[in-house]
Amino acid sequence: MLFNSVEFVFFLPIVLLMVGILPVRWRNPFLLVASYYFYGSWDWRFLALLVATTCVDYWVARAIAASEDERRRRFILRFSIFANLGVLGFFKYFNFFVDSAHAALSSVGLEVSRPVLDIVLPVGISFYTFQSMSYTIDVYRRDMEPARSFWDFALYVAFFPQLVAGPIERATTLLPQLLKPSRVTADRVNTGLMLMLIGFTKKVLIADAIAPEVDRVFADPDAMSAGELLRGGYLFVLQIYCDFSGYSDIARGVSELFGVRLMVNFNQPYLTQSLTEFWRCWHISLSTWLRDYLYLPLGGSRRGSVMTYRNLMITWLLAGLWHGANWTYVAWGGLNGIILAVERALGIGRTARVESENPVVRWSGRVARVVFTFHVWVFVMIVFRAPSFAVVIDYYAGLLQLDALTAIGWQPVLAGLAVIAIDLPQRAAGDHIVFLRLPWWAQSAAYACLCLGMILYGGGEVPFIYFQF
Amino acid sequence: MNQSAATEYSDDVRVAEPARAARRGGLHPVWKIWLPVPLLLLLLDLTFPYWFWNIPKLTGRSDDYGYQFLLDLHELRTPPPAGTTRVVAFGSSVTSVLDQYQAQRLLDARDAGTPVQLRRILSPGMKPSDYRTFFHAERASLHAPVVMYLFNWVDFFNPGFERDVKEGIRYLLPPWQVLEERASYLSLSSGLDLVLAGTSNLYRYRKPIKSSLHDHARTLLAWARSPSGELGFGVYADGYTRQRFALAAAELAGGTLEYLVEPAWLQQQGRVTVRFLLGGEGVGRETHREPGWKTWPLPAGAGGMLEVEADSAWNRRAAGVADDVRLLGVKLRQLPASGASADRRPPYEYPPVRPDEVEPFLRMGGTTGAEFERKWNEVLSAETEFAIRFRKYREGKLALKDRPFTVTDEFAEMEKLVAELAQPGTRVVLVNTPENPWILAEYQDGQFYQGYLRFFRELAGRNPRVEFHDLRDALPVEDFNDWHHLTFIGDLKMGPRFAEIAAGAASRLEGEP
Repeated sequence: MLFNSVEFVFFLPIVLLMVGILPVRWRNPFLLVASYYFYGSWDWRFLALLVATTCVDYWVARAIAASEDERRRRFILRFSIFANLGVLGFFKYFNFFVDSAHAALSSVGLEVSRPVLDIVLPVGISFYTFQSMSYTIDVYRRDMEPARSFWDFALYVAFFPQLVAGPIERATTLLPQLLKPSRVTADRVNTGLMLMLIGFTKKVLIADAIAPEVDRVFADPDAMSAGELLRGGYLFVLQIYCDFSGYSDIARGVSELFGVRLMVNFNQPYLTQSLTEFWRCWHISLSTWLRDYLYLPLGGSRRGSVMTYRNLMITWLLAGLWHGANWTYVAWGGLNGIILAVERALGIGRTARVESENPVVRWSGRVARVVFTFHVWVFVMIVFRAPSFAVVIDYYAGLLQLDALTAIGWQPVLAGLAVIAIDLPQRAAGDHIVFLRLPWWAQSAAYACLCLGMILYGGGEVPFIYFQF
Repeated sequence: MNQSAATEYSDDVRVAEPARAARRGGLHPVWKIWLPVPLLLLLLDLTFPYWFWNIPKLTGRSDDYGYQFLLDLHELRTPPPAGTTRVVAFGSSVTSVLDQYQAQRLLDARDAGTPVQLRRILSPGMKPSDYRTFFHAERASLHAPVVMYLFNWVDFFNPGFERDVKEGIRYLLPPWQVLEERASYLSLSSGLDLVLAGTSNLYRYRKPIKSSLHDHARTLLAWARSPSGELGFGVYADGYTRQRFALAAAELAGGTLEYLVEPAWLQQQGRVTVRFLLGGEGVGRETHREPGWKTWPLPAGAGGMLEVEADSAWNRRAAGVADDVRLLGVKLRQLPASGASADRRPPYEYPPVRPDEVEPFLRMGGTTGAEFERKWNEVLSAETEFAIRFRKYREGKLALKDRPFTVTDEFAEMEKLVAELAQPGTRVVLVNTPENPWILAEYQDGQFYQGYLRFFRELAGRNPRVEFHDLRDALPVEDFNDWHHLTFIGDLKMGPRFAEIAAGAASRLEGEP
């Protein structure tokens, strides 16, 4: 079920109503059933996979906690990681690895038959697998006690607002909230509705509106002028931001209505001044997950420069692979790793900048850095969006033609202004719900217009981009 | 995780707490902000029928068929003048063969018989099963004792009727009626969608609302780029004009406009009304029922641009007087000396397109003979979406050609529809629309097509309130844009036939019990 589907319009009020009237002890079991229904409405068969992951990690965590023998604890943890990554690897990467091996063998003259399996990628598998794994690792690290109730843990894995596209929550923060949710106060309702409105606005009114043009440009970059390619690049980065951060906002907003606070996943990334700063504001739940469960265990930056850069590159190559079974994603991760390594070497984004006293110079510098970072991101994201390296090469070659630059058109400008209109006040105030401080009548009128816009433009049920990851 | 680790890789993630503002206080109460939102939407929703249909549609009839269908349907809800018999023609895209405005003018020009009001509603892809659902809920509100179903074999192509309603038609049909009739075939998502459509006007009519918004935005740009009204326009070099033209009043010899109303124009349109405007203000109107040269004296002291607008256009090829594909108005005795090029755009007007405007589309560019055949083969063999679709239609028809005719679901739905429509005091007119002679020749003698024709003849034969008109071979190939859609010239040729059929059905209605 999509947030932007007709079913969800009926599903959410019913679930909220039921949670409101059910006795407390029935609340979580009901939410679990509702979450499974939410997930199963896409494909019931893959519900079994979700349940299996839940069962494995629940019992593994209990076994780890029950044991004082470090070797045994480590063995059980490895079993859990192997099981989780095995499932993920099979469903997400089987064909990728088979194709890659087949291509490698063919290139050295070894012709072998290629096993063909028509594997459907279960929606959200990367998200819930990582979320579930973080729980067992945290228990192993003794950062938390294992969940007492299977049903509570199952709800932690399957909590429907963030099940299919995150944020990837940690058990240390989400489980206690599910066990003892906060009272749903008026402020929470305000916050929840506001976040949902922002999310739907980003998704329905911005991302979905520009998606057809992005598809058109990336479908045949060879036939496009540099102006059109630039337009496609600009629009894609705006689309993916509004699509994914929109989903996160909706997820956070919905959770607030249940008295649960999810982590902030995006923090106005397009207003950052370096890629290092950017990655602190983009898909925060994934980048912090990778930091805590991959980069730091590899040694982080504690073993000298060479190891630091090695760890950085490993982390980013795997981050690329996490996004999808294609070498373009790996290359995308590698590009990010290289740029972050360069910035690290130059000290960009890690130390406070020395800025001019003159406000004009100071702000010009900031704006220039924001614009530069944005363009670096556009450059990097072409690799992410392109289906193959051939398309990437065509795209970059086309951009270098520098022809018909006026073909960029008004669409990226309008979409960009819409994003700035949301993000700039948020950043200036350091507050995602800053709009709630406007006069009530202005809010009501603006929100009614936005809701009307969503009724008019929201019928397409365009899936969220990150569902495929 | 310790603090040093936290700052090592991603530093401290500086995130804004969503509830920070709430903790700071100063927020308005929930109800004050959010309650007006549904109330405003509810107000818009409930008042929708009182405002939306009054907004003019700014595009031609074939731009956004769904919007046009709903607009036409809304107009049909107003009863016709007392003593007038309303005839409603309906069908899929082939119904465009009937230009309701042309046929209406021809009907109005008759000297005798029952006054008839002819209206048309059409939606491409709408099948007999869809129309059955439609009429089940809407028949009474249409005030139409005579209904005319225009169809083609292609309307019955689906072996079974469509279980789920397709996107283009879904919101044209009454949602609750669709739910009631097809609940067992609909997915949960479709069912809930129809519940919403049945509950909310804004949701059900969101497509036409969007179209209207977009069209108004586009027309605003067109208005900004529109030429000033100080130049003449709409006059061809041979003295013929477009339906609307303008010239400088000072150039009229003796202060009089001399113009010709051709006999062929009156044959095509019944009568012609010409309006005269100075500075955008109407200063005269003449209705002509007889052909010949006419004069219109300019009011004393008039200056500026004289704009002339006829209520219809005509075509010389459709009249068989010349191979000329232009849509024409009057012919001027004297060409304006300062020029009034037919290529020049007229100044902006709101709405920019009139509902009765003919769209001069000619897929084969108005060619004839061998050139038409060459162009036809080129267009139909291309790898375009249109060509692929129309090749499939042909293949589909030829595949059935020699099979025995069977009453599949859509034919059964047709029988039910006719039975439901042919109630006492009504007449049902079934019209098999013209087909391209090239494809018709390939299958018309086959078992299936003969059975198809027999089915309709028998349907009409079984019920005295039902009549069947077979127009399949009414036109030559040059009048077609594809297998079964006509050019505007073909439409103009068919106008008198439809006026005759409508008038005949209305007159036979008087004898009905």
